[in-house]
Amino acid sequence: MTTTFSNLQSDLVTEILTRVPLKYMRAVRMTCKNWNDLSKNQIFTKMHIDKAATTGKEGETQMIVMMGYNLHLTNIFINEDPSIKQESKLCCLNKQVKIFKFINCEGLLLCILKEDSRVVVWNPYLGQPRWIIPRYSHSPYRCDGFSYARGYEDKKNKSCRSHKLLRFLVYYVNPESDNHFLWYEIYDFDSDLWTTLDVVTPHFPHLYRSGVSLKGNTYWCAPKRNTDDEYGIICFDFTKERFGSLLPLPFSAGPNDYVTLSCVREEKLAVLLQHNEYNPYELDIWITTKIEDEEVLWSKFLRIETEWDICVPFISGNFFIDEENKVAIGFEEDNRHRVNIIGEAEYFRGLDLVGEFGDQNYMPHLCSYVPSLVQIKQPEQGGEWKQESDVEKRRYDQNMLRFVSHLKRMNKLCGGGKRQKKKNS
Amino acid sequence: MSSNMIMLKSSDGASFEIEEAAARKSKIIANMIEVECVDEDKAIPLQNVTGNILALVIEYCNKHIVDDDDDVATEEASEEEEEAKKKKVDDWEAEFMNSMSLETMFELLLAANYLNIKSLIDLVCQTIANNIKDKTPEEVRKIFSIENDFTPEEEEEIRKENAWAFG
Repeated sequence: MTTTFSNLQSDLVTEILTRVPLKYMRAVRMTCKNWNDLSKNQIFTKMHIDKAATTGKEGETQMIVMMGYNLHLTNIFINEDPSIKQESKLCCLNKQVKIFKFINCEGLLLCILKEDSRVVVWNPYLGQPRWIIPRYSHSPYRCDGFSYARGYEDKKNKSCRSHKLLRFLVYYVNPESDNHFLWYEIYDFDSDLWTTLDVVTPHFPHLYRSGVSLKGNTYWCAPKRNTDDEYGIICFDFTKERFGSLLPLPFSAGPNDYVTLSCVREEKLAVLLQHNEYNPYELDIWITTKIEDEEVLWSKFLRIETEWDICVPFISGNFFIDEENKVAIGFEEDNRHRVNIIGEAEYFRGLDLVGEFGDQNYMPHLCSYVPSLVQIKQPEQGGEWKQESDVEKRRYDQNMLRFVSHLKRMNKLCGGGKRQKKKNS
Repeated sequence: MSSNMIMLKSSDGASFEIEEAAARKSKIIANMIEVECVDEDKAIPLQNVTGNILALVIEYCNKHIVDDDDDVATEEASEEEEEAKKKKVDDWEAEFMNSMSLETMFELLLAANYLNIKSLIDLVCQTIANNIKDKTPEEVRKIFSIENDFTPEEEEEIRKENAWAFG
């Protein structure tokens, strides 16, 4: 009789399987019932993720890169001679989905798809996706102008967090005119229902950049009212379901500056300040030491200043920082197949993404990634089916009417009749 | 350091002489020594370990006997020396595991677990895990003689559950 897995107690099987790298878990779960059951155990997942975090090589950071409408799990090694390695690609076994945009919220990914009006939230470690169907999408595809943010309530207890999705549409000619249209709605993962929100935003979140998720809330850079070039940060609180007041940045940015937010280990915010072509010699990053409803404190993380003959590489799109190695990581502006690493003492390195990353069409995106144990519940089938209330139905209808009339007004202003017809059909 | 010798006896009756310091790698044997239930003239019987596996365990313990002694000495050792030493141990361990069949690995794991030798459990588990990497479920089942006990419906369900995963 040969000795094999069947001779081992389950704690030894767990010891072995928790040493298999995360990306092979699908194969492990599909091997046999026993392994599948074990891998779903909370003790197993905790051990597995902890082991994955500690066995990494020195200077290694795991990140997710979105490119070619797909997500790639990628390892980046930061040292004198840094390197980058594609670990695996997101695989959807049923059909090839095209991911247009994603937001990482503590290891749970919110994905906006290219050819599907639904959005999907999933935990890449555990697998199971949760599909969310919006009540309305005026274009069958993603270009319907809606922005998304994900967060949660009840920040104390991880296991019974109430997950939510914010979806909003902001149309305006300029912030001061009446010609703007706002539509905010929130989706509750527990009840599987959408609710219209009466949020008054004193400052419009910057729409072209996704918000940054931190401790269940989402932060954006936003211009001060009455100005177009003075920025602060604004937070959507998923517990109170409203925006907070504008919090100050540690600098004042003007029209020649680029301000980008990022999240550090799910604990802090980081802000990157870069300048346009007239000043490519400076780059600054601050991180928060305290962030609350009405108060934010910053400390300087990195300042790069070069001589006149050397430019600081520009980070385009979003970025993240590696606190330990004191570097910032983000895409190069003109070549999105290249990742820039920027640190002190002119530590400027460019790494090419080699491997099956696909086309660099549309905006690629990257973020650091730490696997999460959080399970996303599926909506309850049958049982207590919650219905949308009459009040909510009315509010939704009112919003639709307002939206249609806004589009008409806009079309009149722009003098276009054809587009209006097309949009309303 | 005294080099007391201890006798170990395998389930199939083979006797092995081992330095006490090496034998102490096993928490079980160390405990026996502590509570003085080791008769100096008699061999410690290990009913769950056969002679060929015990020989491997002893080979491992002898190789790692230096670890504990070195803790004091390494304070003076340079980082480079330490790194070189670690590399040497790693190389030895790789070679040690490389020469083993999967079946032997499982038996060694059971023995390490029974004797409670943490570092050996870690080493064997990691080596077995490395054999699971990069393989399809079919390949894994074949290598480890695991039966596919999913019904086709269950298999489909698991596929669906894991449809969205990195792979």
